[in-house]
Amino acid sequence: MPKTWRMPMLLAASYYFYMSWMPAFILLIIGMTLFNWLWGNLLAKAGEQKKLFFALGIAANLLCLGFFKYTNLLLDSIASGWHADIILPLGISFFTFEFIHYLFEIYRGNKPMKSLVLFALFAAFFPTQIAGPIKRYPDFQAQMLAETKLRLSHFDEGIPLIIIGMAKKLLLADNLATFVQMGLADPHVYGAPELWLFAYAFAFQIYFDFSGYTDIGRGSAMLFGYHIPINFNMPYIARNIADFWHRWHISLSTWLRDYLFIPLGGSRNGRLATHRNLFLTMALGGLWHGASWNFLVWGIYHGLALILHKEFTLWKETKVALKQALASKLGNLLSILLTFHAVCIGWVFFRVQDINQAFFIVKRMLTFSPLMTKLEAGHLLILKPELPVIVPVVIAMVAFLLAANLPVSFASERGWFRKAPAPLKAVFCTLLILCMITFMPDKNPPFIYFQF
Amino acid sequence: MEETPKKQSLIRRLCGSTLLWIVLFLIAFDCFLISVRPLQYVQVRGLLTADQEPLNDKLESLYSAINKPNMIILGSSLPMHACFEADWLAANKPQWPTNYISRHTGSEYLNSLFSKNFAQPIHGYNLGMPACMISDSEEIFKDVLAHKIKPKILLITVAPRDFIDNMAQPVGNSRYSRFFADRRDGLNLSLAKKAEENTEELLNHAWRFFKVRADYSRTIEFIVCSSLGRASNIFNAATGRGYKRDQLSEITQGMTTAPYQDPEPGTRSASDDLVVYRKRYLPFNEKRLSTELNHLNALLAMARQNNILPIVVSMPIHPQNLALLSNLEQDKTFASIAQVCADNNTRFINLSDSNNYANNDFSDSVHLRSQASKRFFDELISALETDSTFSPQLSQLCSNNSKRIASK
Repeated sequence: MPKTWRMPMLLAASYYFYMSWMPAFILLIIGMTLFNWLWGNLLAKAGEQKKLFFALGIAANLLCLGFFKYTNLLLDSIASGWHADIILPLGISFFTFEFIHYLFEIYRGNKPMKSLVLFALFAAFFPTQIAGPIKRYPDFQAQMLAETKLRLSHFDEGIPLIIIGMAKKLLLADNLATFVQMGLADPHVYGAPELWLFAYAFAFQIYFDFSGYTDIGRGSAMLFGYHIPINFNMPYIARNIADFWHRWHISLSTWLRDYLFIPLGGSRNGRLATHRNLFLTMALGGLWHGASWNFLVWGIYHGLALILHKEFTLWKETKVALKQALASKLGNLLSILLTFHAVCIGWVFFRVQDINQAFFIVKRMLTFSPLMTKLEAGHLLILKPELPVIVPVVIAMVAFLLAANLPVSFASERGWFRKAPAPLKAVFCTLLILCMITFMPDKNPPFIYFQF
Repeated sequence: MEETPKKQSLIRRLCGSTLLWIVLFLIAFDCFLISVRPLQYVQVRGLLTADQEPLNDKLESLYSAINKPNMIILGSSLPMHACFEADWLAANKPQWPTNYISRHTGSEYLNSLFSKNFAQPIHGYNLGMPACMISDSEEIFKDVLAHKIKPKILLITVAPRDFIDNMAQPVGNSRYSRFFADRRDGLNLSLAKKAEENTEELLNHAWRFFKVRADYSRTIEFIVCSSLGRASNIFNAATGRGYKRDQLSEITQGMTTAPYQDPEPGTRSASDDLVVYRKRYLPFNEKRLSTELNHLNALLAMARQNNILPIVVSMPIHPQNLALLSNLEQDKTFASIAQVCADNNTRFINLSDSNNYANNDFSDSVHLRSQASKRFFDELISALETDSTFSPQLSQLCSNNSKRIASK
């Protein structure tokens, strides 16, 4: 295909992809694209009015996002039960953040994109349109302008990524989802160990669900010769909560750092201001996930955890013995386990929409009370033989994932899969395809992050 | 000389391509599945995998046969068992595997009777299928004709269940209808369909494993459920339909395909069988009877149009089984069948209440044991012999055939 046709064709395909969900919303994405492209060009030439133009541009984007996302929360807060029939457009949180990033960068002195087609493609690029990763335009623009040809090597890299992503979603996340759903349907009957098990299962479900989507997106982009940055870097081997946010949903956490935490003042204005900024950034980050109190609580929980970690780090500096102990192998392992469990508690708030119920579950998990909910002597409820086979299968799966988390991560860190010979990689991918097709559930829930 | 390095680098590039290796492995795996059909060695109660579908085997071997049969036997598992049992006994109880019952296409004993009593070379082909309704038989026969196979005789065996089974799927949705629907040749892609439906259609045609994936998942699910003694899903768990550990032995039995042995009388428990048949028969489904009679009518008409001689024979069944139907219901069923046969100028031989069969002749309430199967075919031939018009008709049909072969 001639080079001049490639971008318009890719744009048309991306719009067609978006329209396959709900055609009317294509007008929204086209409208926002036109506005931000024009506004970006005006902002670049605004001179003294730059700050005002910038603020108006950001406000317009936030208003649009807020209307679709938070109107119902607002109405419900005013009067319980008030509700408006507003459908949340797919991917709006992601492409709005890309637009805000664009305006920020123009405001900071970067050049606006001249080509409307390229700008539209930046926002609508189908592999990342629905659930990210949130792209950065200078990097993506460079790739769009570069000469890209159809190459077998792109397929060799892209197809295994797509297969791995699909296996994460269909084989692991969706089977774990059935188990999590069963547990959270009536958490009151379960004891602490069972609730921890559900939390572990959800931790892996959301990881495989979201990182699976990202892998599919990255793989699809790679088929066209585009390299999308990674969004996950083995988050469950994080050594502390700050480390976790360097490894989890990287494109969002860096966006929040660059366009919320730093503009709020970052860590430049002393300890208290830093804590305030951390708290606000994470609370708003939580709310970004959805118009629901549980997401706000999840964000606040992570904000507080980050503050606590920062204070602990400062305190630790004065305790040499403790510092050495934590730097040891055992210390590292304990740090990883502690961080993982702290993250799991956070996931309860993320998953359980009823905030009272979420607090109830967390209370049981933390107090280990009751330790066992016995229906029959000597039995954890979850091991009752009357429960379906998915229960022991998932328990085994979670146990394996917990045990394999570290070795797999080390293997991944060393790039064992990437460096393996092609036939070996193909055997692995073929086995994944066969397992996926055999064991995927009859009904597959949509990706969790599609709702955001 | 200069082109060699280029070629080498291309080969090396192809060998280093993960994508090509994946495609290669998937094709190889599919070829393995098609040639070995591993699930035929597994026996799971309530699950008939595509690898085990006897209709597929029987039709494939019929269509690929060099010597096409001149008699087709249609019906349910009753004639299927009878042909197998009689042939097995006539062949002096050879070591045939148990799962061969549903794949046995011969009717050697019946052929020998035709040869002995009518001096005609009849080569019968047993297309009896488990739980086959008359509407299914019609569909099977349509497929046979569509493959340009025109026998001289069409032997249709019937029993009351074939017309009124309450447990049977509606016409057009039976296991055999679905088999034919799935087996259709062309790709049925359409813009009117959803993208996922088209993808499914394409993958079903392109990749055997995708088509039979549910068989594998259900078999593995059964093995896991049985090993752990748990139900497969929440619904089954709630309704107490969990798999039990003792069922695991059934799978291994299926894998060994032990040699067939004549079952003891009532091995399949006639009383259990009667409980099931009560559900099949009652309440008496007149609407289904009428529908199936229409299909019988169509089947006979189709045979007549193709100059095929149809014979309808009602199989002997256990008196207790027959007694599940009231006299009125029995009369209505058999009188209607007889009427349809008469309308199509077809011979109807009713052996359903024959006095020649005792309790010991049935392995359950419907299936004949080996000696009784031979006796059934003897009785059938005797009934045909008493009909003075049959022998000349048969001779004429066979001579037409010989003349046609000679003229070719």
